[in-house]
Amino acid sequence: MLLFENVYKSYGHRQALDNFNLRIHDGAMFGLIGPNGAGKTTVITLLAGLILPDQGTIRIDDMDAGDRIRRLRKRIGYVPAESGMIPNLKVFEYMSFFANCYDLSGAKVYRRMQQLLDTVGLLDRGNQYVDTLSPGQQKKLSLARALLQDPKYLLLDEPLAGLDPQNSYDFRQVIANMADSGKTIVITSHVLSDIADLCTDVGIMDKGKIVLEGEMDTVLEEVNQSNPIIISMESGMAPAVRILRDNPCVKSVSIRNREVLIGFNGTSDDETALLRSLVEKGIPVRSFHREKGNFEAVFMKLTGNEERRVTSYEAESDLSEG
Amino acid sequence: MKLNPIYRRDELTGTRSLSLPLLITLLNAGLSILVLINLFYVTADAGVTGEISYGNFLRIYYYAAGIEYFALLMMAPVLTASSITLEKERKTLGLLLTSQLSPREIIRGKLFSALSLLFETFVTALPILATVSIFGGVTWLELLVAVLVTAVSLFYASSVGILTSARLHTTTSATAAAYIAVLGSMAVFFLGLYAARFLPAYAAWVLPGELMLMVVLSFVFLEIAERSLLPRRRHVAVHAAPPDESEPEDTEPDATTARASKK
Repeated sequence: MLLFENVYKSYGHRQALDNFNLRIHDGAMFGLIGPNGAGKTTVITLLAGLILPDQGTIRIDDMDAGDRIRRLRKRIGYVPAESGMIPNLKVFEYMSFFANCYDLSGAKVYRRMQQLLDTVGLLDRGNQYVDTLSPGQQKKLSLARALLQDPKYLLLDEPLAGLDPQNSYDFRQVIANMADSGKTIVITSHVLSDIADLCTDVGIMDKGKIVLEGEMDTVLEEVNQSNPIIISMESGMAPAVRILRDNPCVKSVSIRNREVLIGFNGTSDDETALLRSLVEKGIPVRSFHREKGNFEAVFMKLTGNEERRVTSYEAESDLSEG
Repeated sequence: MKLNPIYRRDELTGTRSLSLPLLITLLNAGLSILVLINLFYVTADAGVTGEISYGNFLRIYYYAAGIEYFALLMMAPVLTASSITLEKERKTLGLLLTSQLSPREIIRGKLFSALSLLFETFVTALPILATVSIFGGVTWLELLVAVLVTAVSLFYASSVGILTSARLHTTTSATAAAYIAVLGSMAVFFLGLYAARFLPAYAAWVLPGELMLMVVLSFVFLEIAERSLLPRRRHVAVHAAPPDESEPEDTEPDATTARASKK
C-alpha cells in the first residue's frame, strides 16, 4: 500500500504539495491527473525516494519512502518523464548495467532481459546504441528497465506524453498487462482520456491537493453528469420544450439545429423517466444521449475556475413546428 | 568480488570514445618530443665539450616527470567534475539513486573510473621516462617518491572534482570550481615544500605531512559528496490557514476534497 499523510512539500516559495493525503491499495492502477504544476511529478519523486517531504509521512508498505533500504528499492520501478539514456551504450548493455545495479546477474536474468525487450518490441534492437533510438523506443526501453527487478510498485510519470498513436497504444498494452499481473501502478498525466480506459482509480490534482478521487467508473460518471443530454427529434420541438421545462431535473434548455440540449441534474432513472414522458407524449425522438464527459469542464468546476456558460431557452417564436 | 557497475559501465563507454586515445597520444607525443630534444642537446653538447653530464640527463627526467605530473593533475578535474553533473544533465542520476546502488557505490564507481583512466595514461608514459635508464636511471627512492606524490595528488584532485560535481548543478561550474580548488591547493602544497628549505629541522616531515593531509581531505570530500546525493529534509514551518471567523459555525464541511460516490 502507498500512503501519503498530511504531506507538505515546497520548492523555495512555491508550495508543490499542500496537506496532501492519498491512499493507494495494492493491485490498483491509479491515475493521477492534473494540469502542469499541480504537483504530480512531486508525488512520483517522493514515492521514488528522490526527495523528502517538508512535513508529513509517506509510507510504502511498512517502510518510509525516503529510507535507503535495499528491499524497498527492489519494490519500486521508476519511469521518469524524461527517459535517461546513456551515450555509447547498447540496448543490451543498458539493461545489463541496470540489472547489475540491482545485483541481478546470470542466465536467468539474461532471459528476463530478452523477455522484457521482446515485450516492449525492442528485442531486435539489442545491439543498437540507446541514444540512437527514437523517443518512443527510449520510453519503452525505460519501462523495460524499470521492470527488471520485477517491482511490486511501478511509478510512471507522464509515460504517454509525446508518443505517437502506435507507440501510445503499444505502451498502454504493456501497462495493462503489468496491471493484470498484480502490480500496483501509479501513472500521471494531464490528459484524462489517455488513461481513462487503463486505470481502476483516479485522483484529480490541483495546486498540490487532491480535489476529486475515486474509482474510475464513478469519476467518469461524475464527469459525464456535468454534460448536457442531447435529444434529437424529427419534429415537435415546441411541445418537447414545454415538457422539458416542466421537468424539475431540467436546469437549462437550448436548441441547436434539430437537437435540444438540456442541462439535467438527476439520476439515470430520472433520465429514463424523462425519455418515457417524451415518447408517451408522441414526440418523435430520434436519439437521446448524454454528451461525452468533458474533463476540462469538470476540472474547472472543481478548482473554482468554472466559466459562466450561457444556456438559454430559445424563443418559442422561432419554433414553427408544433 | 563484484565489480562496481558504475565503474564497469564507464570503462566500457570510455573505450568507445576517441578522447582517451587522443589524450594519451598528445601527452606522450609532447613528452617524447621534449625528451628527444633534450637528449639531442645533451649529446650535441657532449660532442663539443667531450664531457657527459649525468646531471643533464637527470634534468630530462625531472622535466618529463614534472610535465606528466601537471598534465595528469589538470586532467583529473576535467574527468571528475563532470562525473555527477553529466548524470544529472542526462537525467540518469535519479535512475541510479532509485536502484539498489548506494550513494557510496556511485561515488566510488566514478572515482575508480577516473583514477583508472589517469593510471592508464601514467603507465603509457613510463617508457618515455625510462629513457633515463640508458644513462644510469634514477634511484628507487626517487622513483617511489614520484609515484607516491603523483598517486596522492591525483586522488586528491579527483576527490575535489567529485565533490564539486556532486554539489553544483552544471558541468561548467563544477569544472571551474574544481580547477580553482586544485590549483589553489597545489600552490599551497608546493609553497609548503619550498618553505621547508628554510626549516631544516622539519624538512623531512613536510612532504609526508602534506601527503597525509591530502589523503585525509580526500576522504572528507568524498564523504561530503556521498551525503550530497542523499535527499535532505528541509525544515520548513508550515503555516496552516487560520479559521475564517466570518463563517457561521453550522455551515456544511468544505467539499474541496470530494470523494466520488456511486449513485
